Amino acid sequence: MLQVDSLTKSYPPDVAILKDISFALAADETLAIVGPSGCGKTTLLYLLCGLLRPDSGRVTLNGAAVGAGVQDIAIILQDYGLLPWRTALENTALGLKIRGLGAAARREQAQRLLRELGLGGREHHYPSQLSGGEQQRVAIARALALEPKLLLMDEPFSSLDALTREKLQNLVLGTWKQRRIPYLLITHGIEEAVFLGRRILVLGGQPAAVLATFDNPGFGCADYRERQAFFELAQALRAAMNACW
Amino acid sequence: MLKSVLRYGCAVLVLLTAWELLSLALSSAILPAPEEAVSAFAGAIKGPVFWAHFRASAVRVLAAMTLAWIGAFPLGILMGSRPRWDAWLAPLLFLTYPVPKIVLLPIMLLIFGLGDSSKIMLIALILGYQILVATRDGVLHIHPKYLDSVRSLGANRRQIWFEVLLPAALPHGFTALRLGTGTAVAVLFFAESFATREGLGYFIMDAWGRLTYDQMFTGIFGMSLLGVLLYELINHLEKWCCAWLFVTGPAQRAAPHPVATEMPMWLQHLHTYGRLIKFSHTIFALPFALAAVVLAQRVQPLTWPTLGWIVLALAAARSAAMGFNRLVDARFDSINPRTAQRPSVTGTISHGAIIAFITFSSLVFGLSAAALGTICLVLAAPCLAVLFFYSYTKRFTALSHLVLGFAIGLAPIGAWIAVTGGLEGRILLLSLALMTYIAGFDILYACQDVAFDREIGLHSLPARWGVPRALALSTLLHAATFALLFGLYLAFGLGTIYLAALAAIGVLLIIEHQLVRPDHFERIQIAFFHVNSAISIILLLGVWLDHHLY
Repeated sequence: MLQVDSLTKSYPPDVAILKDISFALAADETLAIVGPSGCGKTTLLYLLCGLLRPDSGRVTLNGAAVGAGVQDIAIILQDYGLLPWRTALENTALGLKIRGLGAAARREQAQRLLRELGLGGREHHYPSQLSGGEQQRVAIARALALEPKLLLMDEPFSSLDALTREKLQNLVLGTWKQRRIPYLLITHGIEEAVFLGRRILVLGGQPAAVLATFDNPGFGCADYRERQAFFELAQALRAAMNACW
Repeated sequence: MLKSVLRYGCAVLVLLTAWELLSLALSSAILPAPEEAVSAFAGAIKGPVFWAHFRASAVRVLAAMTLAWIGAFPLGILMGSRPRWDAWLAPLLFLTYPVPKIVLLPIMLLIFGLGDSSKIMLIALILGYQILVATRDGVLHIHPKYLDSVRSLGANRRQIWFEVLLPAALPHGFTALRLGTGTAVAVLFFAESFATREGLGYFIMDAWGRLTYDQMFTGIFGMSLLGVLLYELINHLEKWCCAWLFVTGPAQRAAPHPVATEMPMWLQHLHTYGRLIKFSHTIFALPFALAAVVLAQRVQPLTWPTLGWIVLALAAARSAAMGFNRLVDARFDSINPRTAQRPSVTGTISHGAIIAFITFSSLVFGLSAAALGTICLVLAAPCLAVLFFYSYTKRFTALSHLVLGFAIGLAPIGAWIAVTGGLEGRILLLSLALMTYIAGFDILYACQDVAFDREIGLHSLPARWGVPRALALSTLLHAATFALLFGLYLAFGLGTIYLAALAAIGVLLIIEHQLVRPDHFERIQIAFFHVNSAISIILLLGVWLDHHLY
């Protein structure tokens, strides 16, 4: 469904960021992209959702080219991107408001989502009153509210403590199992990539290119974090990443 | 904080002492002693002349501020968010910014004439520049992640403007406006010293010319008052519009207070009924009603039996209403940890006993009303209806606080009618003061129950608007209380003692609001029982002493 063909991007004057990136994401799949900080992962994400235009190559979703404001793609940014002047409820309903949904309907939908994500009773708090994990949940709720065809996440858990991060990883996996919205996760965490990606792409180099691809057949099984297959894949991934940079 | 109020008090004392010393040292008519200036001011604010000048000045400044905001704020957002516009407009802005706009007064007079418009335009121009520069800078520094995240949701230009640019710019605009109040009042003084016969600037210059220096200081006080009012107005507008800036950490729930045990049985029963009708609350309304009784003696002398029946009627009405409220609310109170210990909830008093209690109280109320005269008897039933109606308003409107205020606010009117047998407009001031006072602290009270009210679907302003906005509204209501009590001073021609009591009430109201912060609800108990009792009793004492000493 998501098809990426030889994307290239450089910033003026001529700093090449991404070179010839190609991959695909099927409708029942999830994809994790790992790479070191500052290798152009965020640029890639912006290209995927149409906030940036590539120098060459193309991105299509179900055969149609993506452009800015494509509402079939929801994006969760690194530091959540919640508006400080909107409450949790208003932030969640923001995408629906922009779509022109009526006040009562979007309020109801947002409230239901927040409750589903364990934020019942926090609807009227501003982001500054919420913990990092709670803010991240609001950002997830805001993305889900749009009922997107594709979810893009940019290092969504990087600033959370270990326990909160695991909880939210479970939440993302649970949500995927329930809704089957394919997602693309950008991360620098090896375990995170193995836990959340059906397939894993290793990005690296200057300019960044796809260096390796891993299949993750154990993805989604119960207690995956405790299993031998999980450790083995994480080892393999670590080795591949060490070899690349 | 209590401390900051004390510090303000110290500052005033230091200033007054310095003034006193300076006036003694100079011993010149130009600097009258502070007490002379204050008494001249107190005299002036009773008459219409001062207020006419005050109003003229206030209208000019407010018009100028509005104009400056409408012109500069959107332009600042435009320049901050659209580089192409900014490229052409910024040089124009920064070339003209350093020009002292006040020298343009002659040109303003030429273009806009000698009337108000030239003065308003001059102030608006000066303020507008400050708002424009601050807003433009603020918008330039908006973090791109906010714009990206809203764009990724598919927002168009108009939506980005309203969802991101406007709210992000608001605090910067408000800061400029607040800093601008000082400048605005200073420019106002300058502008009003030309070509006008009204306004505080003219008032000061005129007094100076006539060598009436105490009058001059009345004008100076007036200008300070105007400045402070504008400053506070803007503060409140900002709290209202930028509620997110005034929240601190996750809101905390108040712990339920412990219940007293270890009491003899009969005392426990009395205590239980006492808690049921919240005797401690009655103390806030009763003094207001008694103050109305004192004031009513100016129209009609009072007899002891009348006073007795009035007190009985008040107590009975309050008991009936509170009993009814608990009965209606028991279902909700039992799930709310803060009220779960109320007697009607824990089952200490049975359902039937409460109904009997309400019936008995209502009968006592009707009886005392009948003893007070036909008109009181006729009004008794509608009055009870209003009191009972309040208990249901929580379920459908967030304005229930105002309904409670209205219901309790009937007390002074009732007392007045009981004494004089008729109604006068000026007593409504006292009732309105009580109404805003009660509504204001009921909102504070409701701040403790926000999470619960939201969950259960009860309507309250803190639940609807969030705690910071509710606190702001409560402050506004209490400012109105103060203004109305001041109106009472004018309407009844009360004396200095009342004014002193009013000043004390003002300080207490400020303390009350300093005690309550969005993150400190445990203090509400102190705020309520100590400060509120003090306020109502000081009011009664003020009115009563004033009546007896003058």
